[in-house]
Amino acid sequence: MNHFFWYLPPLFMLVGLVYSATKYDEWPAILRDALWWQIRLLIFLGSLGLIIYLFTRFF
Amino acid sequence: MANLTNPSPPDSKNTQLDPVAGFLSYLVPGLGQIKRGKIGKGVLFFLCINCLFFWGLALGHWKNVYLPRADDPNRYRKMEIALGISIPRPLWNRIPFAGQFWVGLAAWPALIQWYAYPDETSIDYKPKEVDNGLPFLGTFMRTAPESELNQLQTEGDKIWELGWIFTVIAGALNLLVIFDAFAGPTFPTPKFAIKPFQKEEQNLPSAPE
Repeated sequence: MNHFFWYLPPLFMLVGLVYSATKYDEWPAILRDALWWQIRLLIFLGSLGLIIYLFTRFF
Repeated sequence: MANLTNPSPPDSKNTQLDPVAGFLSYLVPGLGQIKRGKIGKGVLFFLCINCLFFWGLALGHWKNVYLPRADDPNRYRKMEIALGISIPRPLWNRIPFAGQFWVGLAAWPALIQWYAYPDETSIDYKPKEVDNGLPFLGTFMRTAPESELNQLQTEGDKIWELGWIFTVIAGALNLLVIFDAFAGPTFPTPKFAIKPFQKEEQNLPSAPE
């Protein structure tokens, strides 16, 4: 399935890594912050997607 | 690697401003960090930003990073904003390039093509039967004909748009990388690296031997 949502997880990973690496110099801090950002992005955009899906499905 | 349980005050080398490193990170993402001795971070930035930029470029069939001439005033708009400042027509007619530009040298072929080749949006445009492009770049990052761009956008399942968004995100992230190379990380010592009980342990007197 060539749906563009499949492109988003690697995008979140790259964005999270770069953003976290500009905040910290230590690798454990960078990796922990990057993981946390990926989770936050997934939850935020996943919630938006779910709301939009529910609207298009039931309204 | 720094000892996270016993952090030292921010390294003075980290807090010094380094404009040369900032400029190097603009040219090649991560090069400024390498210049400051942070090889691992430099390589991480280089890989992540170039991966995102060229992935986006590939998703757009290598035709979503370009700068049109758009110099015909009857056909292309010019944006006037407050205080008499105007945005040049090429940029106003291809706003994503304002983000893509910050990825550095990787986006310069578009500037070279804009300078060297009067594309379809130019009043000097003369169609050629055989056009191999510039000697080294060929037609890489040249403004594609409008019919081709329309076809890519209408038949591409939104992937063409996603591609240029990736390239813009890469450029925007490189702005953060430039700042990191110029002024160091936002938090030189991670706040969450010290757990509360470790803080208390540090204050305890050492046990007699």
